[in-house]
Amino acid sequence: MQQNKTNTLEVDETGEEAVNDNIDSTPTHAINLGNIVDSSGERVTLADEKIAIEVSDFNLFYGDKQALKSINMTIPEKKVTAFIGPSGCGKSTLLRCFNRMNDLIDSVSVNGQIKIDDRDIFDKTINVAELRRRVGMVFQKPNPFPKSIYENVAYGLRIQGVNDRRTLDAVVEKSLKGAALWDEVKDRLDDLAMGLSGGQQQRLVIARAIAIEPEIILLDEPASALDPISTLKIEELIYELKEKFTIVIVTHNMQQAARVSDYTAYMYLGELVEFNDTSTLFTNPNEKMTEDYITGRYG
Amino acid sequence: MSKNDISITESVLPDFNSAKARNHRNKRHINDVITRYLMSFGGVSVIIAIVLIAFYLFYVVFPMFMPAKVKEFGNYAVPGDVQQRTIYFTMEEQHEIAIRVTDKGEVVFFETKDGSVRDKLKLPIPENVEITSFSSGDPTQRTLALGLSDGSVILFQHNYQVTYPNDERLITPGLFFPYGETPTSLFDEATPINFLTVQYDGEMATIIAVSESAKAKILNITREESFLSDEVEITRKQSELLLETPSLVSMRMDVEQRDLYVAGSGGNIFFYDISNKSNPSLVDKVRAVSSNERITSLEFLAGGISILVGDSTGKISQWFPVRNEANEYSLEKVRSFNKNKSPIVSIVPEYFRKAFVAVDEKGHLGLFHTTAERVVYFSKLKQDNVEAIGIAPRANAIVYQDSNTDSLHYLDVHNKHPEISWKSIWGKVWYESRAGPEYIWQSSSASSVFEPKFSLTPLVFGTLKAAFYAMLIAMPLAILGAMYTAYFMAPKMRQVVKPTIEIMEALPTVILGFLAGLWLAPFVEKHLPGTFMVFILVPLSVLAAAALWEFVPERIKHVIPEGWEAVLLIPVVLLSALTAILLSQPVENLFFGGNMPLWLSTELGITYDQRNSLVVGFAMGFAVIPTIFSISEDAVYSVPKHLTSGSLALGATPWQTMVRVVLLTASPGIFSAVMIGMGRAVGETMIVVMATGNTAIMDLNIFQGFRALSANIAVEMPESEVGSTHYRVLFLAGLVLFIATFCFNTVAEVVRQRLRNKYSSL
Repeated sequence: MQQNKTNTLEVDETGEEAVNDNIDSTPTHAINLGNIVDSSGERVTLADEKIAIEVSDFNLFYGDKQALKSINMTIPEKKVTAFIGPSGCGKSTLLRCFNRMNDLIDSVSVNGQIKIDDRDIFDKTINVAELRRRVGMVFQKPNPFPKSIYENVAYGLRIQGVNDRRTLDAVVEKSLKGAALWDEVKDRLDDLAMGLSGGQQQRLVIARAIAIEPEIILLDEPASALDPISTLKIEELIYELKEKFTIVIVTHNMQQAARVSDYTAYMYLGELVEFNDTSTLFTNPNEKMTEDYITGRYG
Repeated sequence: MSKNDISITESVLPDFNSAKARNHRNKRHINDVITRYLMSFGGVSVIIAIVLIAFYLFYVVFPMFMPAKVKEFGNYAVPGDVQQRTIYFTMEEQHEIAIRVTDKGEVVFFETKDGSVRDKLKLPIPENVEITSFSSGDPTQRTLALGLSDGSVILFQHNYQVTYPNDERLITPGLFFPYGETPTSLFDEATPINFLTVQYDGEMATIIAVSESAKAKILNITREESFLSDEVEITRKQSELLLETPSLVSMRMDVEQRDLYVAGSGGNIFFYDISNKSNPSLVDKVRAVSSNERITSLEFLAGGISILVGDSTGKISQWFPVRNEANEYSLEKVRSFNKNKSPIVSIVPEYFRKAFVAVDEKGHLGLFHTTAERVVYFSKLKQDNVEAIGIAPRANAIVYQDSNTDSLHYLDVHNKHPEISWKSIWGKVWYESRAGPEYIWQSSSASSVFEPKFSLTPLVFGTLKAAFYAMLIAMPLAILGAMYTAYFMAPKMRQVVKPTIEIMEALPTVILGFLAGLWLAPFVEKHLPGTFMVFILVPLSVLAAAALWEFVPERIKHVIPEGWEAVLLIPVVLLSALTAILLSQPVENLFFGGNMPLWLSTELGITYDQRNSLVVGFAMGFAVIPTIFSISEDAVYSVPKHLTSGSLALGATPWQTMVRVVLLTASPGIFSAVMIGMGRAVGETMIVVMATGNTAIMDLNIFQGFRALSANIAVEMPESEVGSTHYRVLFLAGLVLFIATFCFNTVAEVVRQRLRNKYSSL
């Protein structure tokens, strides 16, 4: 957690004490952190939110090693929820459970429940492919397919059997606009996606994810491989995306978590230590452990 | 602080300028330089080795395409009586001694290098009788005959005895009269013989003579030695031949004494069958030249099958009898040479090759080869007006006499490979006695006057056929297997399967070929319907097993861990294959009358060879599968996980991910796997040598064999004489393989690079 030591946490205009630790070395960009305040100016609390994902008594094992220990949490709908915590704390593992990407890893076993739409996603009757269509995911490293920009975005639709060119054209345009990439690529949709810059690739991947109209988008450290300007663009995009989608983001960058998320969960060694609205968690954490982490005492 | 203690603040590295540090840096630098040069040396050596191999192949092949070289070695006054006209020249095997026959019956043996007379003999011509015609039999028999003005013929041979007194070669020339020195009379009255043709092979002689009044007689003399005693019985048969034309230009009889060709002054050629000496018959009559031209020369090509017709425009055409479906012969014009522009004076065939020398009125000398349709050499002689010309048996020397200066010219000829031309190697060639132009490879035969057929086309075809059937079997199995192993199989199982298949590659192909030829070929022949049913039954059973698996209760399914399901298919595949083989006999009895190969040939007209392309496809497919499997498996396996995750995370099923993302990304690797496999199939030798009949036929039929370029080299190289045309053609085959492989690999590499640029991700 070296990087976090040098980070500065900015605080919102409520004037609460800054948890500054060091001189800010990253460019400051003005993000309205009012996102943790709803339109009425009232503080939102978890209890008031509609639930998108409900995790109860969830345990996950890699072979004999327990990676997630009895996690209980509810992730609110159409909000940005951030998972923070030191490396190996299980935040990415938990994220990957929401669309069952952990199935791909051998020797993973789970117990407990994760409910989306009141259905346990580990139920035998669940169609994993359909679950993943509904729960989109963006990875740390941009992973466009070796296809054209157009085909990358259309990919999700094509595998759903949508091949009508006009429908695809419309969805590709809408998705690229939704991912704030349209203006940059509209003249070269047939170029290979690999020709885009890292930040553009990541936005392309997001466009690809939103093209199939998921309900939830999981972001697994989406900006960690990007430069500060691209990171800014992604963060702005996340802010826009939450209008339509429930977003869960894993990040190492606490500043980012503070900037983009409405709620933040702090995990440590496979346990959920604290889960609260971002403002509270960063300014007035309940747990000593959380405070130690966000103030950079360890990580 | 003690000496052993290392303080954190104190650097453990020696000072940059210290001797130790400098030494270390020097050593490091030297290692660096040595390694760099070693690497460059290795790389450059490989390139040099390849270039040298290519160069050596070119070096061996190149002489075949060189034109012949002709150089005048001697020029001296005609030995013997200059006043007499020369009617015949030839040389003995070593071209040390030449013979000159004159129109007054003088035979002069002389040294070719300076013209000094070795021996001078007078033929036994009676008083007041003149020589009116001359004939030479097949040059290899060395039989000559003179037609005399009294209607009789003298037959004689020129012979050379080689002795080694004082360890030096001494050639003693001499004459031999097989039927005595007394001329044999053919005509009752004393009429001059104007045209004469003879053949004598030691056992039988045939003399055909045409008198001044155009009466033609055939005399056949056979000698038979009795088994019990030394008695020799000589039988003479005489008959008359009715000529179609009274005016002749020339007349020639073949070496077998069966065919007679008569060139009439009207430009026609009459082809007689004289195999029955007492009843000769006209087989065909053709017009050999257009109406205002005349035939000036008629000569057999070596072997006595083709005749060469020289005309007054300088054209030389080759004709031979071709048999049609009704078993009738007709004389066909096969090819012609238009190099000479003035009337052909003389055509002299080579002794053993299908080549000849021709001279025209203006003194142009040409060396031609009929099979290759090639003018090997063409040039104007120093002196025109060639009176007579002769060639050495090995075609390495020519003597000719010009009537301007009456001097004799001895030419050294370097003409090793006239039978090779682009057309004779790649094109359709009309070979002697064939019905039409064909692609044939037949490099040798028992006969010394055999026409070698060096068409590489059927061999290239065979190579491609072998590769095609091998790839047909190997490609789907290897690529699909690789896809499954890399993408779906449990890692533990993959750890067993992959090395096992890779070990298959280490199996010597000679063993595969041996098994294919001696075990698989008879097995497939015996179970032919079963073999084909395997292709249908096995995939169907696999599909059926997969469908059944869906209905298996979860409890039992869980016994088999994910990715291990393929193990269950092993008994399914084995059982279904066994069933197919067991069903073979009943199916054969039911539908194919108990014998499918026979049924194929009688009902469908498809010939069935036991060692056929199907067997090669199996064996070579087996040999190629590990290569293609291993490389494609690596390609599929190394598709970045983040791509497959990306696809799966978008709701794609594993199969959709495989087809739409993994295969696409792995395509450069799979492509190069296929190309490398193809290269192996093309160059593979032992399997095709052992599992095919090695018949050089061009036929796509899967039930027939073929002969591949590589197999051809392996089979024929031990028998070919070093430096011969055959030897060089085999090297050419090697060069073709080399170039083909080079092109294959270059194309593969270029395509692979382009695909990789396109599809490699990040």
